[in-house]
Amino acid sequence: MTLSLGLFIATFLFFIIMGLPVAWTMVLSSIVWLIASGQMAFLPVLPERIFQGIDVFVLMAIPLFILAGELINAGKITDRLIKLANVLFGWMPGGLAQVNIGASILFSGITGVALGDIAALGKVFIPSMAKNGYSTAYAAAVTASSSIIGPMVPPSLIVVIYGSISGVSIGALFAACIVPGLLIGLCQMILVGYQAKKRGYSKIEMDRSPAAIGKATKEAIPPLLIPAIILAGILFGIMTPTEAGGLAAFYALLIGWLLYRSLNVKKIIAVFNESAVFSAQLLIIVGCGAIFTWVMGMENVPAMVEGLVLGADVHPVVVLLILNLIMLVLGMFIDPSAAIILFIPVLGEAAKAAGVDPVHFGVIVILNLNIGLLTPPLGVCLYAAEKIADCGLGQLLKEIWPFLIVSLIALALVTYIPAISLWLPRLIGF
Amino acid sequence: MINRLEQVLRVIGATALFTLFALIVLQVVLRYGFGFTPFFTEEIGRYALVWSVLVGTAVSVAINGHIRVTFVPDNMPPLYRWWWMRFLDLITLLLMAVLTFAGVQTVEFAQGQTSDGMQIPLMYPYTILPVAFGAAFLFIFIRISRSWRDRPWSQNGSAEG
Repeated sequence: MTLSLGLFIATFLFFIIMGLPVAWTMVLSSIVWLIASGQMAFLPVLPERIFQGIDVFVLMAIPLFILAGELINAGKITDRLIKLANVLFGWMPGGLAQVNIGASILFSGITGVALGDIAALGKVFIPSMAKNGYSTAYAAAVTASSSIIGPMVPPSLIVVIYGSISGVSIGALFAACIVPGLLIGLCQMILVGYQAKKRGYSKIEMDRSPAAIGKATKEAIPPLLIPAIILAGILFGIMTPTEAGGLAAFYALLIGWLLYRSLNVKKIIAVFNESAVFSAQLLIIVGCGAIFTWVMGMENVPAMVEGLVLGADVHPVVVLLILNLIMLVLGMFIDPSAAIILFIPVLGEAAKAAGVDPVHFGVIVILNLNIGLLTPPLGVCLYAAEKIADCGLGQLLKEIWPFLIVSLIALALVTYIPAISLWLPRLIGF
Repeated sequence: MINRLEQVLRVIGATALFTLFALIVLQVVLRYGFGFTPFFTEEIGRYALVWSVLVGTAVSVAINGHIRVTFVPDNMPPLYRWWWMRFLDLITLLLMAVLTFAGVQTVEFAQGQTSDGMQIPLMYPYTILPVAFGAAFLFIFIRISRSWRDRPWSQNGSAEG
């Protein structure tokens, strides 16, 4: 390793841990590398690299997916999805907790952002579960845990980001994430069923006649068409992810504005404003990541990582275990999107060298980093659910660990049984 | 004045995002409804994306909204944390100065160059680089000045980051 590369890595690690914004950490470490390697003549190239790093067709999908999610949140369609979830899942032991998970599965097809799920569903389910005899800590634990299904079940923002950064087909990733996403939901429902029997949580008594099911389904159809448009468009190769994102946002605007009349011009302007700022916070990391990747390319880092993995001559099972542990630690501290932009160019090389299918590896990364949303110290879903429940972090941690174990079991299954991820994309021709 | 600048940038960012959204919807309608793809949607859409992101970056500096790992600073004693956050603000100020200066050079170098598709002079889309990083420089400068005015040991000070 050269001195300039050592300084580049040391600067990056020190400042990212010490709290400098991720984007500026990448710029700073790249400038340190330019100085150390005597290549300051390249300094004027940095803004151009940032510009070109963002100026990419597939990245246009990211703000459009964010826009679609924000329009849906502002359009207040949550009640309709909860009604459907009540009918579909409320008959099981621990009815309200099961509905919470089921609503997350339905809602995940709409926004695909874990925090959006907590904000929309937590405010409904946590007080409602508390009123029905569940502890607030347990209600928060179910809400936080089920929120990580969102980024798995397509359409999901993090999948679009992973595909854009790694060059893996977004359609293939969408297809590959469906079964693992549903698997986590199923594992959580089994756990809740077991806990409900032990703690005496009852099912929800309500009309489940075919007419009632039909009515709830009919009301939920307009919002549920959003994932249908996106998935059908991308999976069958009709549309690019960018076009599907644009169409989904347009459809969300139409149903919120004209059908449900919950959006007005003022709200729409606010949504565009917030979406632009939120997209910028993600995409500036992609732009600055272009400089970072350029420096790593100049230092031949991807080839070094590949050589390291090949030279170590270890079984892919061990490589996957090590990569999973690295990502679990990363997920504890870094936002999943930022972690993907920063580390996938390197970790992806390691997985490729070990012979892991890139689509399979993408699913592992996305699931793994999402579990990090539930682990301290940076478990943002944990904090968001605790904020709504006001139950104390200690109590919440006591209730969340069984859900963490279940999620880790799902991660192990997804990691070591590639067919769970790859069966569906192979079936539809990816 | 500085709030007005933030508002103007927010309007530009939202307009750029709306432009991107409208162009993509138009592309979908024309491609699947009328069987042709307009030549300008992709290129203008990409520039709208870059403008929206860079302007949003400046706004995010103003609202201190950039993604960062806060675990270590959050666990520092309040006064150490105050000094450390100001140190990070100073680094950001320097970086914004460098990027603004380099952005001006990028615009200058781009004079006479045109884009591959629509032959747009590249200096126009690149103009957003010094504008956005310059605005971010101003925002971070104001934050440092305000933090110093409200420093913890002053009469109405606060130890918040």
